[in-house]
Parts: sequence; C-alpha cells; structure tokens
Amino acid sequence: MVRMAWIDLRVWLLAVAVSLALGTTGLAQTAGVGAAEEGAGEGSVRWRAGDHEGALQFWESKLEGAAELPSRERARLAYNVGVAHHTAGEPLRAAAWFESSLRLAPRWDDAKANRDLARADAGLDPKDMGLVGGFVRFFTRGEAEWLALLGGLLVLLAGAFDAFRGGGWGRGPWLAILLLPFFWTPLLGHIFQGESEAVMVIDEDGAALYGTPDTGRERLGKLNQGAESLVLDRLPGWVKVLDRGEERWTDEDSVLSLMR
Amino acid sequence: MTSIYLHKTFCTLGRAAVAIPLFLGMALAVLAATAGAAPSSTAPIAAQSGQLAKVEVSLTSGLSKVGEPVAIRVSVTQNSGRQAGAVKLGILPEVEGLEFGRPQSGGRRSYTSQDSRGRVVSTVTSTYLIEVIPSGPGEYLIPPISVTVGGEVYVRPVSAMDLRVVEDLAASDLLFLERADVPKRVFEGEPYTVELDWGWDSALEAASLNLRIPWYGRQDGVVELETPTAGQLYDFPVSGNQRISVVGLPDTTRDGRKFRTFRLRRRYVATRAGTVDFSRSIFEFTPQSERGSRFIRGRGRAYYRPLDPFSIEVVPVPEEGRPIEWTGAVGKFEASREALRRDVDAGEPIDFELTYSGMGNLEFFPAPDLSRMPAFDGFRVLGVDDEKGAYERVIKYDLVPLSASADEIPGVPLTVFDTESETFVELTTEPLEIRVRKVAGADGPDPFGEKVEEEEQPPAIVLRDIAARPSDQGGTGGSFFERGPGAGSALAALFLGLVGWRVLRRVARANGDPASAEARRRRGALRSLERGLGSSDPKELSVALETFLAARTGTEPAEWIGQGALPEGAGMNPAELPQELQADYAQIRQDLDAAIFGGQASRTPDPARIRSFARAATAGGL
Repeated sequence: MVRMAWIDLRVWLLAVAVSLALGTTGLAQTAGVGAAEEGAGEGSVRWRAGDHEGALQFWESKLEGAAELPSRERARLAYNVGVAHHTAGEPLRAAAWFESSLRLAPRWDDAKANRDLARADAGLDPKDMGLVGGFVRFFTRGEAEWLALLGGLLVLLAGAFDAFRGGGWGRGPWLAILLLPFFWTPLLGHIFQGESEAVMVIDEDGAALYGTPDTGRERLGKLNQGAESLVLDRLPGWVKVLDRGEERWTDEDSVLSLMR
Repeated sequence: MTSIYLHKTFCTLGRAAVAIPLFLGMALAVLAATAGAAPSSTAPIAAQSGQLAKVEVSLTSGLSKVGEPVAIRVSVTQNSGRQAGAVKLGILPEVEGLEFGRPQSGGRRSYTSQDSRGRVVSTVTSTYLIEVIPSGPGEYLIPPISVTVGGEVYVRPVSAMDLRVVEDLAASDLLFLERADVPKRVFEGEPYTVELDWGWDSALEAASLNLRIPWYGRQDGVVELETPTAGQLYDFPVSGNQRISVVGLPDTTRDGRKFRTFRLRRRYVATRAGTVDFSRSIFEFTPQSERGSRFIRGRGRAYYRPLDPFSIEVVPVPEEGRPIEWTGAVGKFEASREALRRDVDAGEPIDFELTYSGMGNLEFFPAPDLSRMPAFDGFRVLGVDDEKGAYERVIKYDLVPLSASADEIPGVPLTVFDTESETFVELTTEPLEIRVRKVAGADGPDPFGEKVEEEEQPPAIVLRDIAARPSDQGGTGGSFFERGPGAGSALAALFLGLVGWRVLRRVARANGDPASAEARRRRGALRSLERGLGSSDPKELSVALETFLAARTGTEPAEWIGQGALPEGAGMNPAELPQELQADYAQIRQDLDAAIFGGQASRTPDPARIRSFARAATAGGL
C-alpha cells in the first residue's frame, strides 16, 4: 500500500515537473511572439525570441523550392539567412546570401550594406561591378524588360509627334533611337548573362578545382574565397564551374549558389 | 684607302688645271701621312672598296671655344638600290674631361639620285650628331668609334679625333656670367638660394641670346620654393627652347664698360641627402652684325661665357639628440610675439601674433598647437590664421582667456634644428603681459563648456536587422515591375515604334507637311481667335472671325469679308456642316455687318457666341 502511494506520488511529482516545464516554454514562446513586429513571419518570430538556429532553418526551408514565391519575398528570406549567418560568425557565407538576395532585389540598401559589411569582415575587397555591370545589375530582369519596352514606346511616341507635327519634332525619333542603348543595355546584359546559375566560393581556403569530379586526380588550381563563377553542370557533391574559360569541377560544399 | 682618298679629292676638284698642283701637294701629304704623321681628325674617311656603305666620322669643329656647341658627325651613305642595312652606333669611348650626349634617334636622312650612263643610281645618307660637352679648355683626343651597318662593323676615323677647346677671350670682355656664393653644405629641409647674374656690353645689340643652364629643373630630390622678386621681370631664353622669368637689373659698370644685367634667383630645398650638382652654365650671345642695312643684317659670331660647375652637399638632419617636439623646422630663426590689444574682458578674444623670421624652411613646419600646450590651459584657441612667406611667417591665433586671473600669454616654444650650431634648439617667445577684466556673469565654468578631448569616431557600421515581415505584408514591398513583359514584347515594342513611326509619318503627311505654315496656321486658328475675341469692337471681332475662317479653310481673310454664308470649296465642304452651324454663321455675319456698316452697335455679337461657333465648326470638320 505504502509502495503504491509512493509510486503515485512520483507520478504526480513528474506530472507537475512536466507541466511546469511546458508552462515555462509556453510563456517564453508567448513572450517571443509579443516581442516580434506585427505581421512578422514565423521565422522572424523565432528570431526575435532568440531561437536563431530555428529561424535560420525555417528561412532556409522556406527557400527550398520557393520558385513560386515572389522574388522580393525570396530576396527577403535570403537576406534573413545572411543576417543569421553573419550573426553566427560566418561572414563569408553571409556575404554569399546577401549577394543572392541582391540578385533578386538589386536596389535594396539594407542588403547592399550588409553585403559590404560581410565582405569586409571576411577580408574581401568591396564589390565592384564596373559602370556597365553596375547599371545592368541595377535592374531585375523584369524591370529591364519593362525598360526596353519603354524604349520602343518612346520611339513610337516621338515618331507620332514627328508625323503629326513635323518641324523640330522630327529630331525626336532620332533622339529616342540614340537613347535606346540606355533602355536596352540592362535587358541585353541580363540576356547575355543568361539565367544560368552562379556560385560564390565560401570556403576560406578557396575552392579546389579538378579536371574530373574525382579528388584523387590532380588539382588544377583553385577559386579564391569570395570568387564567383557560372555553374555549367552538377553531379551529386560536385559542381562544374568556369575558371578563366576552362571547365573545372569543384566540391559542392565549398561554394554556395547565388540563385534563389 | 689612301688611293681612294686621293681619287675622291681629285674628282671633287674636277678641274685638271687646278688638280695637278693640288694632286702633287696632296700626294706629298699622303706620303707624309704614310710616313707616320696623323691625318687631320676632321678628314672624312671613305669606306673601303667592297664594303656595303661609306661611313664618315668627324668632328663638326676641331677647334672650339668653351661653351660653343661641338659634335661628332657620323655620316653613313648607302646605295638605296640594294637593301639599306640598319645603322647602329657602338659604345662611345670614355674621354677624361669630355661628356657625350645621346645620338639622335634615327638620324637625319637625305636622298640623292644621279644618272650614271642611263642608269639611275640612288643613295641614302644618314647623319647622326653626338654632342660633345668639354669640361673646360684643353686638348682632347677622341678615339675612333665603331659603327655597325647591316651587320658589318666600321671603325672610324682611323686615328683619334683631336679637339682643342680654348677660352673665348673676347667674350670675357663683352659678357659676364657669375654666381653668388652658395653654401657648400646644407641639411635636408634647409632652403638655399641660387643666384646667377649675367649681362653683355650695352653698346652691343643682341641678335640672339641664350642662357644654357642644363641643371635647371632637372635636379632630383630638390623642390623649388617661391622666390620673392623685385624689379622688372623678363622672359629670358634658356637652354634654347624655353623661357624663364628673370629680373632685369640696372646697367652695371665693369672695367669702364656698361653692361646690361639680368639676374636669375631661385630658392630650393633639398628633400633628401646626397649631392645637388650644378653643371656648367653658359651664357651665349650673338651681336647684330655691323654690316648691312638696318633691315638686312647678317649675324655676327657668337660669344660664350661659361660658369664653372659647382655642387652642394645635402646632409641629413641628425637623429641623435632629436627631441620629440621637433616638427621639422630647420634653419636659423628668430621668434617674436605681439598682441594688438592686451587689455580685454574675460571671454573676449586676443589677436595673438607669432612671427618667425630668418633663413629656414619657414613654410614647411606645422604651426605650434597652443591647445596641446599645458601652459595655455587657461586659454581657448578659437582660430588660427597662418601666413607663410619666404623669409617670414606670421601665425595669428584668436586666444580667449578663460578667467580674469590670466595675466600673461605664456611663451610659445618651437624646437628648431639650428643649421649654424648643428644642434636642436628650443626657440621660445617672451611671455606677453595682459590684463583680463572680470565682467558680471563671467564667473563660473568655462563659457565655452568643458574642454573635451575630441576624438573622431568613425561612424558605426553594424549589421542591419532582419526583414521581419513577408513582402506580401509590406515587409520589403512587392513590385509591379517584378514580372516583366518578356524580351519578345520589348523587341516587338521596338519594332512597332520604328515601323509605326514610318507608317504614321506616311499617313499623316498624305495631306501635306504638318510643319508647313498653312498647317500651323490651321492648328493655331482657335488660339488666334481667342486672342482676337478679347475686344468688343465689332470690326476687331469681324477681323478675328475672318482670320479664323481663313486659317481653317486655307484661304485669305479678305475673302471672308461680306461673305454671308459658308461657301463651298476652298478646302471645305459646307454641305457636311450641320444646318444650325450654317445658320449660326449667317446670323453672326449679319450682326457684325449691321454693327460695322449699319451703325447698330447693339447688334455686336457676343464674343462667346463667336467662340462657340468656331469650336463647333472646328469640331464639325471645318
């Protein structure tokens, strides 16, 4: 009898302890929800609650197969992943995530600032894309298409003025044609860059390059940390990249895709 | 070779009557030469027979005056019928007391052609000049030099060239060129002045002048400083092809002659240890020839007045005994201080002036920073004005005594490397007595606030926060332009723009040029009518209406005077206009005519009525 009572007491004590533990967790979660902004996503709520690892996993999982999401949302998720990695002391990896975010939202100041900071923390030079490259990357592919369309419409509009008014308006269409490089450069830049995937080297020692996907073969060089390259092909654990015009294989873990 | 030389000389003379005695003379000379006498160094040596080219090496002059240009002339003549070989000059010999300039790249080329028994023979002659710079008067022997032509080596002339350089004695009477003393040794950062005076007999009129100062502007480790000048400035020709600013001095008298005199004065500071070399300077003067008319005068001989080379040794400022406070001041300075107003109220600024004068790098050390000196804790420095001059530097401070207890401006120390004693000395100004009056309300803490050591902090760059809200909830915002119309659509729009422009142009211009005066008048008819309707005078209203109708129909306004109905033709079809519009026009016309010609002013139509008709007519296709 006494033994049964002792078992019952232990069960009760265990139940109380579990209840207390669950209650505490629930309170913490409630407090976390309360600290996040109104309308914040689930990952952000976890982040605000201090669950950085959970938030990172959530954002990364959201990005997996997120092709149907708007590009701005994908940019936001990639940006948040970058913040999480930088906070975790991985600036090189964070720089790659910020870069992929900027490819989706090229004029996002926060992403730009964080990318520059992450690159600096990783010991990389500031990103310099040159005048034309910078102009091309200033627009997304969609915006570049609209801009090119606008160029055509501008020619039509100026042509209409020339047709119906003549005189000095006759210079309008030619001026519009002269301006066409401005309207078309971003789109042509995107077309020539293609939609092919790019990767960035996130291994501090650089990415070793091989002629075939076999680490037993001779190493043919390396891509330095922070270097970007086009992806030509993939195999499980391997990525075929372009190095100074030569096709090379590198370990998948030493690079991070910039396409999200 | 001797026989060739004789043959050449003989052919050059070309006249048998003269040739025979000369031939004999030359034969004697050749005999003498073969007996051991050296041939003239200026004599050209022809190429040996069978060789590809004729190479001649000679001095432009075997006798020259100090300063007179002299050069080695290398002349290579090749038959252009065969492929001309490349010419390469060998390494020039080293001759004590002589320097050689760089040979002209490519040389100067001349071509000649002559008819040789019906065959045109062309030759090309390349001439190179190598400047010879003697160090002074004397006799110099220049060994033969090697010339490679088309891979074949020629050593010319066969014996050394003899150059005799003599003083230009006449020039020493007519010209002078001298320099003021310069220090033999200076320290890094210590300024020094180079001063050259030159001139010529004022009785002579100059045909050409040239001051050759090869060192000017070509010294390494030297910075030219601003040099104060007084007097008339002239642009004087220097080193042949440039001009520099020099000072013209009053005529000077030397040995009873009056000389026109000029002065070149430049201040320099050496920035590194070593030797600053001043190579030989030469004043070259050519007077106008006395012969000929005023306008057609030849040039006389040139005179050269050299100035011997000199140098200045630059030594580093010693490290030993160098105080921490030393900020680079080098020279022999004096320091003084002054304040225009020394009796001030507390909080009022004092214009405190520090003056450094003397010979030294006054421009090159930072002004003393009073705010870092503990002796000036009772003052606040509001501003510094630094005026740098060649021989004087004035630093003005706006000093504010912070309390009435201040009774003097402390002495200001400056550590200077004294070039005379070659030690570091501290140059401190005398304290300056002041009186600061206490004013009401001035007691208490520093009126300018606590003196805080301002440290510039770089702006903090921190990681920006996460974007918490999804974009569909306004987090980072969506964009209409996110999904583009497609590159094909853009291309189609461009095609449409280009083709549409041409099509529209063709369609629109089927009825004439839209930019013609008539078309513009038609388009502007309503605006023109609006301006005319501002008046209530029936005549002006009538003119405005007629002008409108003429513009719209491509007719003249006069054709509409007295026109009671809208006529057919003239670019319009009244039958297509509504009947009401026709009636309206007839009524307006009648009213206007009655008002103008019938004197019935009350029938003057309202401008709004005319406007209404005009708009309706325009819309109706008038």
